[in-house]
Amino acid sequence: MNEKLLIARCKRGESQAYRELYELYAPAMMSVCMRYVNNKETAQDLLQEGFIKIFTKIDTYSETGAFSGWIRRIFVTTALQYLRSNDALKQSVDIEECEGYINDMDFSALDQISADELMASIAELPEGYRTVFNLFALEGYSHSEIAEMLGVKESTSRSQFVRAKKILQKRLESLVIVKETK
Amino acid sequence: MTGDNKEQLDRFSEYMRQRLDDHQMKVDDSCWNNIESRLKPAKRKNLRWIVFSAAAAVVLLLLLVVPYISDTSKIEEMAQVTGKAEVHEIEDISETLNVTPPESKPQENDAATATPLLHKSKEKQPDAVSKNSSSIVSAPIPDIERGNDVGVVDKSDVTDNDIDSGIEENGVEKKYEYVDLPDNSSKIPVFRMEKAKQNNWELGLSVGSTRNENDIDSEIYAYASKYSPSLANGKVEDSYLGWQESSIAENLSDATHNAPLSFGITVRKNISNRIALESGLVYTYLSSKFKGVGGSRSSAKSELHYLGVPLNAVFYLYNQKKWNVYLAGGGMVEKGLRLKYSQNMVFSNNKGESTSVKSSVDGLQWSVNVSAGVAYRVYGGWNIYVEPKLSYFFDNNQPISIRTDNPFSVGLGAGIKYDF
Repeated sequence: MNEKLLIARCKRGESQAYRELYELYAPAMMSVCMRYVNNKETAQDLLQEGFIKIFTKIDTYSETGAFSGWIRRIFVTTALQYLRSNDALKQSVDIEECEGYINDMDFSALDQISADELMASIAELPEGYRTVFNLFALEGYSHSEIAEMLGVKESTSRSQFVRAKKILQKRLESLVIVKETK
Repeated sequence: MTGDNKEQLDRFSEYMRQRLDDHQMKVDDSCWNNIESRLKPAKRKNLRWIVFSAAAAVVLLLLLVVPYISDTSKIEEMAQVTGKAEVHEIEDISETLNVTPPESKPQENDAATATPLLHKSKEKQPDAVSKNSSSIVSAPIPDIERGNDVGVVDKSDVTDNDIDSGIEENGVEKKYEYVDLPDNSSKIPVFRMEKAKQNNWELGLSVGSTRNENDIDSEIYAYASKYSPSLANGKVEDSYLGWQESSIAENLSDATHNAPLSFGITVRKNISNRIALESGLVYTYLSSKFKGVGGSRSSAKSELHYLGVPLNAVFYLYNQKKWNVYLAGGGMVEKGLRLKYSQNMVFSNNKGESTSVKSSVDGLQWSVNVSAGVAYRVYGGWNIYVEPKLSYFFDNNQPISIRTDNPFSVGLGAGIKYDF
């Protein structure tokens, strides 16, 4: 109910409501932006851009779906637009091919790794891999949807995700070993 | 994103999602300051529009009122002058004639006697109407040498047709009327000046459109499958409520707005020869097309139907029997009748998905407008008119259309009107 009230106030153009909405969502959306661009200044630019869109287009929110989902979608779209405009998704990166999945990964060991360290590990992925991993694993899009959004083949999205996952698993495993040896 | 993947998430991805779903990061304070400063220009822009609208309203009011006041005072002044002239001239005539039995009708030879003085009165003839919109002035004298009508004529020789056949000048019709001289010695013909018959009501049919706007950066977030359009606060059927579970977002930011089409029926009430009030019913159809950027083949289309009630004040700059030129200003309130939104998503595997939603439109659209029009009487009471119009549509939380993207529009209206 409070959220509906806040939305209604924002639709009326109340400055205070904008501020409240910003304070409510800015930290989480900053995290979303950072996962895509891995640069604090750029992430803050995207954050500003996203909130400007939200404030100027909030009257188009139909209130039939989760508001948090609507907001998150705008930030993801804003980040993708930035990456597209900088041709970040087309850059080829030489990466060390990882052999095989780590199927028997000890997830309880991964608990030693903080969320910030997980974020840092994702940030180290090449942009194309990182984007596909974010969209598939963390945002919940299907590969066909990702292919449409990024303008690539579905098979490309799948293969990039598999490679991203391999790299990430390997790095996290190394991180666990380091922590355990300390 | 909380949506379920169509493809089963592996344990690692599931684990990562759980760990990072609520992750937050600190944001610099400067970030909000930047956002705030970027929002302010928009507010200033709105303020500019308010100031502009107020200024336009004042100018319009002045245009409406000043000429009217000026005209009224002029008429009063002229009426005073005319009244004096009449008395003076009639006295002169009675002195010159210096005869005339009360019961005698004017004779042609009397006319000859009176002619020199009547010529004099012709020179002095005022050409304005009286305060009562009807005055009596000395008649222009017909040429005696050509054997035409004389200035003083036996009333019995004049038929009704003669009386009705007036001369129209500056929207004022002059008719013959016979008045007794002060001593009742004879009658003289005078022109009774009347305003042209003023039709009090006009019924009009109109069609209008505004300038087409292309390639406006308007963003619609379209979603594949089960998506309800985020166009506005339109009510959406329950079958679309699950959109957040399996939707993807695409920014359909390439918007093309088609020129709006309006059809109306209006009634105009003439309050005076200068001012009228106009109202009626106006139907407007708005449509927009949206395309995705970056080579996307996805597209969407929205169609809006509005019914509005205008209320305008009309000021005639020039109001003749055949032509009239006017300025009009006022406002209109419109209710959205229907919103139809349809989208066609095309995926990379060339599979497509079409969705169409119809919903009502909440709220009212308010607008103000000024226009200048020219009307021409074609036949009888039938007029045709053309009317360039300048409109400003307020931000009333309406679905995206050319009005929300470009609230200031220049349009052209035309139609027919019937005076009755």
